[in-house]
Amino acid sequence: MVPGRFGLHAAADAVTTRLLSADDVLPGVYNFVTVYRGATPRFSEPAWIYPASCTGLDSITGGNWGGAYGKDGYLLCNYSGNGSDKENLPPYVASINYYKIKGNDKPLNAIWESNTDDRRALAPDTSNSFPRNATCLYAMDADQIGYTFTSTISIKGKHDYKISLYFLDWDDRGRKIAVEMFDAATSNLISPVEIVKSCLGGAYLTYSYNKSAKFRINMVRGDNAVLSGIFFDPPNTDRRPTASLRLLCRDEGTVLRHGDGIDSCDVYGAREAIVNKVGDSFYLFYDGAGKDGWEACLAKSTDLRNWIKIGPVLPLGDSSRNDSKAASSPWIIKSKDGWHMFYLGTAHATLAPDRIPAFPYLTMKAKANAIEGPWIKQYEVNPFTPKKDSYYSLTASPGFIIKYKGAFIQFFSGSMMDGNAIKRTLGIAKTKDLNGSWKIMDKPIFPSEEQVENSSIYFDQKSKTWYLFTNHIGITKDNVEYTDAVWVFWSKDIYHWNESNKAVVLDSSNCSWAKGAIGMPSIIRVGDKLAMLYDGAPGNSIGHMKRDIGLAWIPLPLRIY
Amino acid sequence: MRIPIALFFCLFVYYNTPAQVKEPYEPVHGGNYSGLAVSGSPKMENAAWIEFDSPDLADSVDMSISEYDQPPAYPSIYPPKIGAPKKYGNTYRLELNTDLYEGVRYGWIHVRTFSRPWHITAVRLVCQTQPANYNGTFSCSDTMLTRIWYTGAYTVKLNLLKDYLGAILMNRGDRFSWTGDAYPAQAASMVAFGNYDFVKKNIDFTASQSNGIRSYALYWVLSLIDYFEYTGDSATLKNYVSNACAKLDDAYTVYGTNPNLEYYGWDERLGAGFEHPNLPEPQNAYKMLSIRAWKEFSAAMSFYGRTDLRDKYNNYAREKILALKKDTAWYQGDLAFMQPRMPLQPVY
Repeated sequence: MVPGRFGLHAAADAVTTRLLSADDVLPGVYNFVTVYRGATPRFSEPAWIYPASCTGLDSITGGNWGGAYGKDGYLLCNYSGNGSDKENLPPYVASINYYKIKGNDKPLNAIWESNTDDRRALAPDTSNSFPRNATCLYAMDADQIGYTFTSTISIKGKHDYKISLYFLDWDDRGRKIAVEMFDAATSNLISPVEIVKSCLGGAYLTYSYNKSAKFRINMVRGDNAVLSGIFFDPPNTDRRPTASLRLLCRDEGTVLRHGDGIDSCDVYGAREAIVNKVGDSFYLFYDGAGKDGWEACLAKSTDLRNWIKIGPVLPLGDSSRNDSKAASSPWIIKSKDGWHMFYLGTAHATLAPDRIPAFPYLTMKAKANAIEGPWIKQYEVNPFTPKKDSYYSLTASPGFIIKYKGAFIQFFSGSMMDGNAIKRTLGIAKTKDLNGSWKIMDKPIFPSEEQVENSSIYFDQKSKTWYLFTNHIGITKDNVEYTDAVWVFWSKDIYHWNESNKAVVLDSSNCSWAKGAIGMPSIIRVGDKLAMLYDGAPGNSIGHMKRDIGLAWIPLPLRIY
Repeated sequence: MRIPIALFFCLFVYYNTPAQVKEPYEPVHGGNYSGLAVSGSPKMENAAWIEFDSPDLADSVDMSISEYDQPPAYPSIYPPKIGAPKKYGNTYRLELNTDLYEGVRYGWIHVRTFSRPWHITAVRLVCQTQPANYNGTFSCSDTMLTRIWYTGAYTVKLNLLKDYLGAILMNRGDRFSWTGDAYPAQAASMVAFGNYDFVKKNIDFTASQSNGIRSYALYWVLSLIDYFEYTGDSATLKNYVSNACAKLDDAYTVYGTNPNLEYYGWDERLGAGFEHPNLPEPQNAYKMLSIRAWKEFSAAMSFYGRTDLRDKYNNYAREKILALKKDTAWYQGDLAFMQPRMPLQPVY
């Protein structure tokens, strides 16, 4: 029995007791033990999701914004002096306002130079003509809290738009500027803070959003923070759905180059990477564009960076077969009775030497006892075929396969014609017999307008979330389609997906070597990150040929921003 | 019986060698310097002065300090962070104030001209802090929590200055933390170091310094309650009962009137510092803080034996809570900052 009086104290109607007192206690050592009952709640770090996204920093265009920015409208800060902007705002913009603490509640303004021929100064209009005015708004109050200002863009209702802010370190003061983006109504931060590290030659920071937004412009280095222009553009050039979020992904570069495969199997290109792991070895199936056509090839690695090419594993079929022109893109899965392969076959291709596989793409079957083969084609097996008047009326090509609750699920690629346009999406096929036929769900998992094809699945155990990595098909101004990015979708329910839950994983902005075509992703977990193999065309090429295989890393937990 | 510890009001002085010395450093824009850039630990800014040793310096040099990796270019209204060092034997010390300390993370030795070669034999950052032992410990199976606890404690330890909790702001040269800033620091300090007398001194010092920030007045009351709960020092509590009651009564008087809060936090939703402190979000947060302060003070008064004050402030809290419960639309939107436990330091 402990001598003295101990008591718990609380306010008169407090629910919890918060104060333990000890009165008249004799000297000594007392241990107070608190016992918790129940299980410790498990913490699952939520994905970082931001409603808006910064889509790029452009330090090349300078003041020649005509043709590059402002297709919907523009505002040139203080272009007329005395804080008066020159503006031609789009109809969906209600107003643009500024605020800075102290003074007259407005940012300060400056004309660095009028009538200049310096291309860093913003052109007066879309013709990119000269002379120009080098002007800005800035914040530099006597007190340190006056080194920041905001600009609020009021949008009428909801409207998808791109907005670009132009920063210029005209007088070379070493300016570094931090930009925060908030939803104007809630003041929630809607995009990660961006740092414009240098704007000596002028820099555009571009964001995508669909509601009113407030930007905070902060000084990091240099004399002060400045803003010279605001430009509005349509969300994308072809009006296809876009992904405004991004998944944190760091590109490592090319790891497998085309050209030196056995028997010229990849002399014209290597693409459609599909990675598997057996034991300590990684096996990479890829489409080798060879001297006879496109065939599935195999390479082996222990570190994903250095690959030993094994050679082609699927020869083309004879002229009577549906895989006479291409036998490629094999997805495999191991079962009790060995390895099963579902590959893309077609009897159509473009002319030599490219021999690019052409629609319709079919799903065909092969089997083997080991992943390295030999692979034996099973022409008698017909997993699934295109179906008239469906979302896979044009093609039904294979995709990622998993075993889920006793059945096999395949995320296959389906395409259809809509007028003169091809529309692409993913569907789910299901079977319990890998050598039998598959049942296809009536509806695709995304609308065909999403323009996605191919699949790679990752399930995050902690958050119980499925992530589907896929390839987005973009289109140029000249209506040339090409694979422009890797996207990821996520869902808690493997059968039900919401197309709004998506993010860009890899595109020209974060791929270190492919600035045009970026092809099919394949994901595999390596320790505390995901490795992503993908193909791309070096430089700005959007062509099908001369592609190589690249490697990118995605840290876990996945961070969407 | 409380035994005074003589060391308590002394300063512990020690020095750090630079983590990095760069020569030449990249000149600041608009400047024309050459010299040495000296940087400390990448994770620490300490109350300290910077000095170097030279046995043969015959020319004049300047020294400067900064929180950033370039010499500061503050407006002239602020105390200068650059100057000619004072010479003590072969030691050259930058003395920017009589307290002999600034927040130093980066330092520079500016050598603009010299008539003959000379040498620097040592560069030091001389730090000062109150000596304090770790009387509190923390251990958790989640090692991240343990690391957070010790990082917080160490941060507080670095700011135990000569008389008060420090809060060095480079530009304006503040020397002590404001009441709201001190609130979490004092709580952490008592848990980690058990330096109750030091905290009491800080409470004494900030008893009438709310700097026009209403929430800070209430945070001072909460600090007083924390101190009382940790120490049972009823004499100090008694000394400040009327002070605390005045603050709490003022909160009751202005409750629901959307008073000028002056500042609530740097978050954009809380008004972005001093820009828009009277938005609905900070006003709601201030209401919640008021209710919490009344409840906690009521509990403290219960323990202290002032049932009249216990009931008074408990009634305040109950009255406002009941009113809120009747209005189902009393709050629209997120409650992210409804009961901020950790005020953010204002830079005003």
